[in-house]
Amino acid sequence: MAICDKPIERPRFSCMLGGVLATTGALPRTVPIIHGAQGCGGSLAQGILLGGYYGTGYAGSGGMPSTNISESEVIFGGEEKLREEIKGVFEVMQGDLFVVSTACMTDIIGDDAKAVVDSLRPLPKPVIFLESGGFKGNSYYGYGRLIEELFLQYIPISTKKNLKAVNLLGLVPAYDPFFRGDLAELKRILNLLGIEVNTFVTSDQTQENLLKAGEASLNIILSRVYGVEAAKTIKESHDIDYLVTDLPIGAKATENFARLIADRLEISKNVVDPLLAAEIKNYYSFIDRATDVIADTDFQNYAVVVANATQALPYARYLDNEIGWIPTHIFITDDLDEDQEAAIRSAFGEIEFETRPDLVFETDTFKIQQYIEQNTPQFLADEYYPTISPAFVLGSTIERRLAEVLKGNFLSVSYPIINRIIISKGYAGFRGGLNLLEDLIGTQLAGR
Amino acid sequence: MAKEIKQIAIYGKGGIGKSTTTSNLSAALSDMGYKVMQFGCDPKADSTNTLRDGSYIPTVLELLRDKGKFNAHEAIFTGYNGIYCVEAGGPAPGVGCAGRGIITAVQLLKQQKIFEELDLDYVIYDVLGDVVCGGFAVPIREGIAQHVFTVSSSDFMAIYAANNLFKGIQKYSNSGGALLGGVIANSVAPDSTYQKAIIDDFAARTDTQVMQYIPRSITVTQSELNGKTTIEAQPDSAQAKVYRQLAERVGGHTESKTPNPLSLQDLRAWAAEWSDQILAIESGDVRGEAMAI
Repeated sequence: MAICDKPIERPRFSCMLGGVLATTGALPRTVPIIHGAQGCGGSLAQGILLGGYYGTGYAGSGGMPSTNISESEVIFGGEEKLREEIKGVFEVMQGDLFVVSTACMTDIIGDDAKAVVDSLRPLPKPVIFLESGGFKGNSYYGYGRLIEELFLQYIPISTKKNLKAVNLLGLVPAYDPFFRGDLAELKRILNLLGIEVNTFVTSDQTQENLLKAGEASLNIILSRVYGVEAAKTIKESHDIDYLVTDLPIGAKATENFARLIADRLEISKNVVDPLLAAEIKNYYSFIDRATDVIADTDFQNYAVVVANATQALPYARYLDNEIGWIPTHIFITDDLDEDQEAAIRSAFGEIEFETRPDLVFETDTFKIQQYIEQNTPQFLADEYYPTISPAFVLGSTIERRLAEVLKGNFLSVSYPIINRIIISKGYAGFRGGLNLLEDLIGTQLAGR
Repeated sequence: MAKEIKQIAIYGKGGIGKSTTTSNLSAALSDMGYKVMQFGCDPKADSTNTLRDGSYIPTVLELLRDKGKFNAHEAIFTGYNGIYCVEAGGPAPGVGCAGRGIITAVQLLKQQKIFEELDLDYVIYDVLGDVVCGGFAVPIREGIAQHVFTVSSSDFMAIYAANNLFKGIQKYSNSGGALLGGVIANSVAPDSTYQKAIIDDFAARTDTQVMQYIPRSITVTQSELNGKTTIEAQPDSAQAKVYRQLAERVGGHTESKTPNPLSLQDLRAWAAEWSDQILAIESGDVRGEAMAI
């Protein structure tokens, strides 16, 4: 459980319930039922929109049913209200799966959501529940807990494993703003290798994907910290092995990723090599033409990456390993515990950089700028020091200010993103690597 | 200028005799000519029973829940000698939040300025047990009670609860909260050689005073079985006299103080020290000056 024990200035996440609701709203034909005050669903719906205007969808964001408890329920208990709400939701909402999620107040007063749901069974459709009071952790924690409960309460245990089936986990809807495009691309690549993939949260998914997730032989966690605990639980409950890796961005990282999975699933090199060769060839045919403008106009940059624990290292690796930029700083904006921080440091140590960037764990927005200003010679009044110039900031929309201070360019890649809409775009995989290059160079050309 | 209403909160461990003491205090103050309201802050809603012949009254929170709109007059009932009786009420055991209930009930009466309207001299809050959460601290907080008294016996758990209360008072003391008037020592056996001494010692160490020593008495039990306070049922009894003395002291009390609660470690050490002494007394061990005899 991630416990935030200090005030954070402009945090890049919401609460546990926020992560649960964003994820529930991304599951196929799944309806969340919030047991909390009206402000919980209302403000968390807004929080979900900050992921590049990730909208309502089937029953997410602004379409989420809620018990909207009031003072009377706080004093006398809200279980009856929840019971009525569940009945009411079944009358007016169609869905294939319903997720009852409690909020802070109902957890504090001790409403027993499980007992209410159980007392109503049998229900016309599957209903799972989880205590998701926001005080228990942040939105990333909420994602992990929901995935756990999906397996524990809904996804059947299968003793017969499909050795060519995997679940792709670790990207949190909305809070990893490019999750749809990223997962779709990684699914495409794994499909090429003959691997069946359940992502749970992309638009192609159905309940069938959820229900057969127990047959998968591997859970791939695309984050060094988020979803890892869930994977451990699922290993015990469903006997599915797990692999923790980084989000691959660009040809080199994606080739490594594909080979890692292929090795794990014992897919023949003879199958993998030609498929990847074709993908790589295709990738560089696009890069090839882009190099004209890149070389002619010297679009090489020093870069500052500001992102969550899942994305920050993969972006920095891409900038250095794939396109030859120099990332000077990597700021990880999540509130991590010691073990999580250690996992990130370890992953950072595995990445080869031409010039090693400064890895900084910093949750406060203003301190990110302050850190650069106080630790970079160009801000220390000596003009003969090297400078971070030309600079490029890859961060959230609130890093626009940092880009101005560095007199550099800016691309929003991490939550919150409100300066552009994200629909199907992703930055992972081969296609994502091209997308990212297109956006990085496109940003520099935009003023022409 | 409107007269100042003296608002008092009585706290203490559950079952220690708070409601008995509070009701007798209310009755005695009423007999002295004061206009008194007793406000029960316990979901059990039985604080004012002995002021009303053992009968229960609808609670503030019941009325709020059933009607959606709350009129304070509907929650106020008169009992012995015209004492106004109010019960906050609360949820059934095991559900909801009783602490929030207390906050809501107290705020509702305060908002409707009912104390001023009734031209009260005293409002006495009888508050459930320990200060387990913020809700039960409401009567201590700014703008509610001015004086807090705690009912305690010489039992360690009662003193532990009192010490916790002192911590609550200390916390709110800098923000205009109620201060401590003193300890009301209850169930003190007149022939005990150590019960009074334990309470005296605790009061001294925590920088407070003992307002009254109330002996355990069959008179109280008899009166309560008849649904009455001792003041009403046996006004001439010795026990009634004790309660009247308490009322006079509370009536005359003007300056409350911030207590100096013991840390948990100190409290345990203090209790262990007394445990040794009691053992010595019970086993006839002779210590101190008596050893020289």
